[in-house]
Amino acid sequence: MPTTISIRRGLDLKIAGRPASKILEAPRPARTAVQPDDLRYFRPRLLVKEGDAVKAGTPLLEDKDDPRIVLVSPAGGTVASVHRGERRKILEVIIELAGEETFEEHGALDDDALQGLTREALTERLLKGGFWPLLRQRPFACVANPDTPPKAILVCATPQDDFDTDPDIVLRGQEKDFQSGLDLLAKLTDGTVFLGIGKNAQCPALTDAKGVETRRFAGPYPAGDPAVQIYYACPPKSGETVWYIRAQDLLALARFVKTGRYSTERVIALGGPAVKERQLFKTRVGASIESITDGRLEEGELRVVSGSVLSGRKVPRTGFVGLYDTAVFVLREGRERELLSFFMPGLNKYTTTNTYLGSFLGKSEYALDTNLRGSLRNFTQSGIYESVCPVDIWPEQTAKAVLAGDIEEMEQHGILDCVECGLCTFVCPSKIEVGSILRDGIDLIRKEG
Amino acid sequence: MNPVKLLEDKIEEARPLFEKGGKLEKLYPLFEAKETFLLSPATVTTGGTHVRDALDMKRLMIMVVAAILPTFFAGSYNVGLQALLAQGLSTDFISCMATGLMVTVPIVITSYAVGGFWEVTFALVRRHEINEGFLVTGLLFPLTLPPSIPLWMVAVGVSFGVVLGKEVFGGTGMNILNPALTARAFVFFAYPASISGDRVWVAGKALIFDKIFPFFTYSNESFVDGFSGATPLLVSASQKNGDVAAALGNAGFTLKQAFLGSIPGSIGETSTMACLIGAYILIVTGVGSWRIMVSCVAGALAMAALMNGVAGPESAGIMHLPGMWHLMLGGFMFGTVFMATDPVSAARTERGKIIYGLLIGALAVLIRSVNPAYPEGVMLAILFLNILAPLIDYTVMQGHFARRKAWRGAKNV
Repeated sequence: MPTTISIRRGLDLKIAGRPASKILEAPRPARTAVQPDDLRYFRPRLLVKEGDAVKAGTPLLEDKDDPRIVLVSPAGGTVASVHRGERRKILEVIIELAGEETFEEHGALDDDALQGLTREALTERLLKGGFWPLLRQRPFACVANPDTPPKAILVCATPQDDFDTDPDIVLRGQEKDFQSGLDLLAKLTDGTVFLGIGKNAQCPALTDAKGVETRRFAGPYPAGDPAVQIYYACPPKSGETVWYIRAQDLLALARFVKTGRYSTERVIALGGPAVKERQLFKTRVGASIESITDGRLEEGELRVVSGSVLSGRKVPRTGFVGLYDTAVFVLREGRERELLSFFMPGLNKYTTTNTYLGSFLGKSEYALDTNLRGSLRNFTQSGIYESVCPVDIWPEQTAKAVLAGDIEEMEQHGILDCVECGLCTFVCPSKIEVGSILRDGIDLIRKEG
Repeated sequence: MNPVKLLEDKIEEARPLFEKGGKLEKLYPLFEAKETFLLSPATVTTGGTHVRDALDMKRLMIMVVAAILPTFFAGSYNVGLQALLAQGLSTDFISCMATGLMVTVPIVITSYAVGGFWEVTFALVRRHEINEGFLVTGLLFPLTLPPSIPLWMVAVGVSFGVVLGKEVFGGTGMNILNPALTARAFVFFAYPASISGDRVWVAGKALIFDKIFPFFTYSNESFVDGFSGATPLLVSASQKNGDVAAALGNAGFTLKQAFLGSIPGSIGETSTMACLIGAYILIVTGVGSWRIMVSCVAGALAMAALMNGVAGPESAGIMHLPGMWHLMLGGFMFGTVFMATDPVSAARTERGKIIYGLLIGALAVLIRSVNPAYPEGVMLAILFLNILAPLIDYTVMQGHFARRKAWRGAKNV
């Protein structure tokens, strides 16, 4: 039996709209996109221009700091447009799918060739094929540095939260590819490959995985987050790195290494209180949001989030699913005002404290919207952040060190262990973006090197 | 038409007046405060966390006010009870409550009005929002005063507390000292004759006229002639030697009275039971720190036991006072539940809160015991620990850093 690690602190949000666990085939999206913002500290240089014909796997963007790191086209077709934001920052490179897709060919490998692959050859193949960015590292949550092998690699095979795709479902029947992915990872480190699975995982790909140290994770959100799992299973010491990859990404990576072709398949969960038909969808990497939400959303002003509702990215309804994301969450924009709301008993209010009567009614689901539920204030209440933080950080004190620009104190507080789960921001009664402040601190440390 | 919509339209109609370029631009914080008081803000989240907990600062402060209200009503009843007793009148519930409220309501209104004036003035001048914290300060401060306090002292005190205790530091969240206690301490040291001794604890005629024009009546008129209403603390402090419990009994005080609050004292501080109801509300809602409250009590009991142990036959009576009495008398429970737990001026780390509470409890009893001239030590103990709180947090943080460092070094794959 694998060791079970129970995460004690955290919070399972009682939000309505969990997706059912059946997988539906989504229609083939007309467009897909690559979003450089998915990669931390990635400074994109455009390699194609609008109108270019591209194959699935053709590099679209490279990193100005390390041109070996490329983002490739997730589909064959033409570059429809390059969507830029402020200061001409590249936000999306949009690909119009061709009727008949072509692929960049990197040559298939048979089982013996796979076995004989050296670390250098594998690294080279992943970089060339654009699959390297699927490997990320702690600290900093950026793309793994191909030049410094990690002390361990963690494969995260748990859903991020109740609204995410559960790898336990997706990996059924994929035992062979998943195991070959695990074997490939073992080549990339001299240390251990850890496999983080849910406490009730049953899929043989996970329970019978070989050559890895399996850890079962139990506890509230964010127990399913790779950063939390690294913190509890194999925390990097100062100067060390630990790499991680999510299960579906590993599956795609393994298929690519074997076939030499870009692997497009991706299962995405559609959930949230503003979704009528909540389901898992088999679609492709970088799929347009419309291709899975079409006709399944409620009326009114909605917000679409790629990733988790606590840490994901707001995307337009015409936008695209993020590279690492396996969930799309849709909720109402909360612009409705309430009369004297803070005097009311608040039977429908969701709070982790007992300040509204709703807390005593034992309601299991709330249709939360994006309302801030208050106004910005100074830090006032204390202790509330630590009570939900999954790691041993004191978010308030750490945030104050960030605001003071004191890098040494930030590091002493262990800011690099912050898993960016967003819970401290969620609970803050002063409505301070505590998590964003911590993120700023991490970026500052990275910048000061 | 839906009232929310109607109100929203009115607000939107008025908004341009207060926004940049509008005629009343300078009054924007007032507009904002009123608007968000009536209607919850329509602001939506930005950043990666797309939903928020329903608890905000307004609700938080309202919960504290709700927790304080039992002490206000119990205190008002007792003020009436003591006044009617002293005058030898009938003490049925309605008379006590009515008489008491006639005394306490003007005091509270004065505190809110004058303090609110400063709050708004600073918000306008410094262009920050009006902080809800004042809802608590404005109610806490009057409850620490004796019922015979002239209203102008309430006004001066609350002005000092709000301006120098809070606003000069940048408003709620930035202050070092608890503003209500700062105000209390100011009044105590500035006007000792009106806030200590044995004559101030029972309200006299309780006429509104006396309250508004205290200059006419300041001398002794507002006190009951010839009635000395020493508080139990004063009794035990002035008891020279021997059995302090007996002395309290002779003066007519029982532990039960002290618990229920039918003894002379500051308006809101007499009823330990009402304070405990408040503590229950604060702890159940998660608004007040149980760590601070429990450790305050533990600190007081420990120090009282120590004092009882070292007290000789020559020691002042209060050295012999059992710990349980310490908890029931004076402002101890009120201070522990409502003042020490003010999150801004208390220690902010969880371990720090325990140290902070223990020291408050111990210091309060120590001051009471060794300085019989000043039997009410809890106010000074809390203020002192307010100042020490950042140091406690700093020490606790150093321990945290050391533990983290050791953990980082020890963990290995």
